[in-house]
Amino acid sequence: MMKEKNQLDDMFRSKLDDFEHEPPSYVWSRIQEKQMGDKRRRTFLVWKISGVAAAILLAFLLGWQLHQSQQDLSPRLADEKPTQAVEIPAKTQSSTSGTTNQEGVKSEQESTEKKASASTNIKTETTTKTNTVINQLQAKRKQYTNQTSASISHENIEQRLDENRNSDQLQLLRSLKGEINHLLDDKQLAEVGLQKLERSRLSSIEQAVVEENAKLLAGNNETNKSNSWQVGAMLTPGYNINQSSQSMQYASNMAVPGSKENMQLGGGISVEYKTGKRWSIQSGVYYSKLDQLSSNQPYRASDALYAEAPGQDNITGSATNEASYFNTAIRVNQGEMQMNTSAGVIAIDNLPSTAKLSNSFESLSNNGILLTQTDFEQNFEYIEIPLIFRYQLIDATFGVQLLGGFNASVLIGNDAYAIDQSGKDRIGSTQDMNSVNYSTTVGFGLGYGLTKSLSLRVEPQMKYFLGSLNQNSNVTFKPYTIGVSTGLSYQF
Amino acid sequence: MKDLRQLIIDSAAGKAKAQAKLYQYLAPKMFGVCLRYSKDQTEAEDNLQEGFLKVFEKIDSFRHEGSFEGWVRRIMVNVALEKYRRNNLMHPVEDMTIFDGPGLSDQIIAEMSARDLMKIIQELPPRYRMVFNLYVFEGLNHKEIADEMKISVGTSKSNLARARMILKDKVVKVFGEIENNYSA
Repeated sequence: MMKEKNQLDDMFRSKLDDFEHEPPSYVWSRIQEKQMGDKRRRTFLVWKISGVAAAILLAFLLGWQLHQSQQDLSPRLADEKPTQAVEIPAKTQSSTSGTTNQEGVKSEQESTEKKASASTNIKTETTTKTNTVINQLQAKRKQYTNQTSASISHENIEQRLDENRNSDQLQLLRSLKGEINHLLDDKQLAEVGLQKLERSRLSSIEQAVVEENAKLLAGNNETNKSNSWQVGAMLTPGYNINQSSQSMQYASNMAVPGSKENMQLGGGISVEYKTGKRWSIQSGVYYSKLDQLSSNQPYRASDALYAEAPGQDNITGSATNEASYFNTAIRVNQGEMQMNTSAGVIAIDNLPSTAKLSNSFESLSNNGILLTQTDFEQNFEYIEIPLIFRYQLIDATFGVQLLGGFNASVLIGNDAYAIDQSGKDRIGSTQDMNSVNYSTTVGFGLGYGLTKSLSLRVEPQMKYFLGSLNQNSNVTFKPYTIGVSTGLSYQF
Repeated sequence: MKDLRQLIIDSAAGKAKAQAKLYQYLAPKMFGVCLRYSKDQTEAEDNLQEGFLKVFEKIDSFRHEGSFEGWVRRIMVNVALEKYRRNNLMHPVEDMTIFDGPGLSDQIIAEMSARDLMKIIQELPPRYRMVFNLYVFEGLNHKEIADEMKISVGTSKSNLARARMILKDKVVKVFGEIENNYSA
């Protein structure tokens, strides 16, 4: 028995081990095409990734830039000008308890406040008066300076007179000394008065500026509350519902549409600007994906094509499979195979590995029938730029917004796949897809403030395409998407 | 073979001409291998295509230590194995009892062409075809086959026995008849 087995094994081995057979020439061309395709796809992927990265970077740079420029707008006058004149009235306005050191200064401040509140006429009058007083004081100061020099000499004289004990002169000089002392007191008083007056004059001049600053500051605080920027990163699991209609002629040779609903994951970066207390505008860059499945056509005995179709074993090589396979008509147009689906015409450039193209149906308008057990899937990838208006219904830690707007969707990926149990094979792309589409969005925005500037967002929304995604006049493909965007947004 | 080494290096560098030459050199042999592991020519073509794409993708990892042809052949076998695992894991075939069939006469063996034998192998159920190929042509033992195919050693053994039985039956049926016709 062992010998016999070996004999059988040996027989097969000896006859088949070095068996060579020239493969058909198209195998090599297919290898080359695939290699080129992979290279293209890799290049495209690199571009796609760098594009998204650039968009994110741009969004953040824009946000940062705007944040910076807003800081520049805030009034530095009030914050940075270190003049005493500005500081004192500011204190006066903010504190009523009078934390100032000098009683005199306090009362002076009060008078300043009064002055400040007076009309311009009074201000001018005050200024004139102040000037007069200053002039008088300056005259007094001059006088004093002269007399100081006199007082020095007077001390010398007194000494000498004391020595001489000249009482008359002493009397005179004593009276002179008293006057000088009096003048000296006067001078000190005058000095304080001058200081006070100078201060009050500065205050009155700068009062307007101070008021202006205060107003700006208050205004700015308010701006920070209502006019602000938000940057967010959102993930959007979406439920696509494909709505499509076709002309009779088109539909008669069309693949059977698969399940209308499917889940897709999208997402992106949002940039939002709050224009008022309740209104805000939002844009951003989002990625989204749409899908159209086409399933097997039941294998019907009544179908005219059925009789012509080859036996099932020729297709599957096994009798255990269900008696159904895809038998959709295919046009062969200048070497390109075209198949109708509910989303548009697939241009097949690479037949599914398990498919066979039957071309013995010359009586039909179409050139062939595709015989395969695979399902078909059309993928469309879009980059979306939305313009969404939001209205704040509830403005609290837990906020509620109403939102609505438009999206411009740019087609960046268009692939058709054949799916069987062994996986997904790219077979081509859908023809006549619009490169730019417009859609509307309505929904709710729910936000929960995690910190002062970071909030969690959950936004159920619906998107509806305004026109068909396909230019083909026989097909109207208008899917709509119900999705819940979830993510974080940062306010600054 | 110095030329082959250079061809491999150039192919790894992505030179299309070198890759084409390498393909021309190896494709007929590898197509023979693929045919043995496939149910028909179409599947073999697909495997050959997939195999060569893998070869060119991984060629820069070839260390020039063993036989390049053996390396490529191993890739082709792996493609078939992967496909088998994807498609057939869910459909276990029940173990068969081993029994003997009639013996083969030398004359029958002499009559058979490689092409006929290939056809018989291709007609085997996928699992038997896989086990038979791995055991007879790749020289794997049952333990190795069991590992590759994620089956038990016992299953591998019984599959091989079953494959041999079917093959012998077919050989006798097809060529025995021819023999009978000749003798008649």
